[in-house]
Amino acid sequence: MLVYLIKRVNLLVTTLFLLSLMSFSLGHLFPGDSVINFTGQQSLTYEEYAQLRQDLALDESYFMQYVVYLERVFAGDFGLSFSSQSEVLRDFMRVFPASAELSFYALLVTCLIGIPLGLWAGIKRNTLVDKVIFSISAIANSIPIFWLGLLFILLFSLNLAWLPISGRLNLLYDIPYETGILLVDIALSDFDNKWPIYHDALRHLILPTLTLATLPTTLLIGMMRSNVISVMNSQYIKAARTKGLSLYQIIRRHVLRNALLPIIPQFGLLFNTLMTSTMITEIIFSWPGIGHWLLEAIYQRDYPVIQASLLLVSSFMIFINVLSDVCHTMVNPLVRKEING
Amino acid sequence: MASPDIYNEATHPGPYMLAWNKFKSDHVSWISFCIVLFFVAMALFAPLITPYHPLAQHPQDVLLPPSWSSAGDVRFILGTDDLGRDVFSRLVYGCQITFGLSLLTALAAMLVGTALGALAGMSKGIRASVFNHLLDTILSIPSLLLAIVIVAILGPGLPNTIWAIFLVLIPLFVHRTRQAIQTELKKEYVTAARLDGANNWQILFRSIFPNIVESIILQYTLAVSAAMLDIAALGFLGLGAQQGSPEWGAMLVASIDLIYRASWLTTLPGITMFLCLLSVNAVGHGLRNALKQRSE
Repeated sequence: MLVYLIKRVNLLVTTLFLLSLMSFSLGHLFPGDSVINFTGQQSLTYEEYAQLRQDLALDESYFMQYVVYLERVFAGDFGLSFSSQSEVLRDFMRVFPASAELSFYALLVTCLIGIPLGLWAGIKRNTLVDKVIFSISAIANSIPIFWLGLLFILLFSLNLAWLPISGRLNLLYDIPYETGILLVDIALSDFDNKWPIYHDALRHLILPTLTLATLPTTLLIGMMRSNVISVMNSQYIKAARTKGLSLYQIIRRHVLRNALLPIIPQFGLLFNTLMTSTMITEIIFSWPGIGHWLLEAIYQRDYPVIQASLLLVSSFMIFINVLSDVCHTMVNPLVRKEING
Repeated sequence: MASPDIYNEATHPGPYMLAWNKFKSDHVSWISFCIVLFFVAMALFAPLITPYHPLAQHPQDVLLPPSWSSAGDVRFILGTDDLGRDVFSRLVYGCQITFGLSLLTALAAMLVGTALGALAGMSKGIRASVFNHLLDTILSIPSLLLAIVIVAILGPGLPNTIWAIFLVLIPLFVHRTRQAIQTELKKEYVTAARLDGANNWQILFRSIFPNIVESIILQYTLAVSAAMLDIAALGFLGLGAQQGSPEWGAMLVASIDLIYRASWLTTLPGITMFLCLLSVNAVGHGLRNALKQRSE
C-alpha cells in the first residue's frame, strides 16, 4: 500500500513538474518581452525594468530562471493581468467559485440521472428499456454541447419564454460578493424577502446546468450499464439468487455497491469532460467563471493570465485524477490485493 | 460433411472478413457507415454539388428562410444568411473543412502516434517509464484545454487549430498502441515466434501488427469524432476558423446574433454536425461490437 501511495505521489509530482516546466516556457514562447510576460507590468521605467529583470534572474541560465519562477508560484505570485492590472491569483479566486458552483450542480444532476438510468438499463439488459436508454444516451452523446446550449436557448428562452437566456441573476438584485457561490451569498445577504431571489437564481441555473450535465450523464450511463452487466454475470449474484434473495435486495445489497466501485477511478475522466464543457457553457450563457475568464484572456492576449490559468486548472485536474485513483484503491479491497500481491 | 457445391472450394473468411461481415450484419452500423461515406463524398465533390461559391453574396436575397417555408425561394434550398450567402453551399463546404480536415488530421496523428506507440510498447526499463510519465501528463489535460493553449501560443486561425488538434490527438494513439502491444506481447503466439528466433522487428511487424490493426482503426473513429468536435468548438469560441468561414462551428457562432430573426441558421449547421458525429460514433460502436464478438 505504501509503495502504491509513493508511486501515485511520484506520478503527481512528476506531472506537476512537467506542467510547471511547460508553464514556465510559455513565458518565453509567447510573443513579446519575457519580463512583461512574466510580471504583467506594462508601463515600466528603465530602472524598474532592469530591477525586475534581475529579480526574475532573466540574465542567468534557464535553470536559475525556472527556480525563481517556482519560488514565485509557491508564493502565489503569478504577476498582474494585462487587461485589469490586478493580481492574477486574486482574479482567479474571484471567478473560480462561479465555475465550481455550476460544475457541482451539473455533477449532482449527472449522478442523480446517470446512476439510476444506468442501473435500470443494466438490469433489464437487452430489453426494450435498455435499448431505449442506451440509444438515447448514444444520441445525446453525439450532440455538440455548443449547439445543445443554443437549442435550449432557442426553445426555452425565445420560443417558450420560460427561462432567462444568460447571466447568473436578474440585475434587480444586487447581492454583495462574499464567497462567490451565489446561493450561499444570497443566504448571507441581509434582504428581507429572499424567496424571489432564490427563485430567480435557480431559474438562471437550469439551462446551463442541463447543458453541462448532458455529456457526463451519457458517459456515466454507459459506464454504469457495463458495470452492472458484469456484476450481474458474476458468481456471487448467482449465489445470492440461490439463497432466495429478491431482486430488490440483490440490487440494493450487492449490485449497486459493486457497480459503483469501478466508477471512482473513471471519475477523473468524467471530471475532465465536465471541465472542458464548462468552458463552452460559460461562453454560451455568459456565466462569469474560469472558462469565460480564460477565453477573454486569449482574445486580449493576456499572457500572464493564460500562463497562470493553464497551470492552475491542469494541476487541479491532475490532483482530482490522482485523488480518485487513490480513493479507489482505499475503498476497493480487490485492487489492494492485486497491488500487494 | 457432404456439400452440394462440389465445384467451388469452400471459402473460409479471414479474420478481417469475419469482422467486416459482423459489422455489416448490424443494420445501425451499416447505415451509419453509408452516411459517413455520403459525407466523405460531399466533402470530396463539394465544388460539383454546390450551386454557389460559399462566400458569394446575393444582396437581393438576404435572410431568406429555407425553401419549404412560404417565404423561401427554390434557388436557395436551405435559405440564405445575413449577407445573402447560400446556406446549402456553405454547409457542403463546411463539411470539407470540419469533417474532411478532421479525417486527414486524425490520419496524420494515427501514423505518427502509432509509430511512437510501437516504439514505446517495444521498449523496456527507464525509457518506457519516462515515456509513460510524459504520456500520463499529456493525457491528464483535457484535449480542448490543450488545444486552446496551443492556439493561444500560435495565435488564432484554422491552420494553427489543425496543428493543435494534430498534436493533441497523437498521445491518444500512442497510448492505445502501447497498451495493445503490451497485451499482445504477453500472449503465447508471440513467445512461440520468439522461440523460433524472430527478432523484435519481425515480431512487431509479422506477429503483433496484424492483430492490433483493428483496435487502431477503432481509435481512429474516436479520434475523428474528437477532432470534429474540437475543430468546431474552437471555431465556435472564435479561436479556430475565422468569422465568415463556412466551418460549422464558426457558422453556429455567427448565428447567435440572428437567433431571434433567423433560427434556421442555428438549427441547420447543428443538425448537419450532429448527424455527422452520430454516424461516426455509431460506426465506432459497431466496430467495437464486431471486434468483441469475434474475439468471443
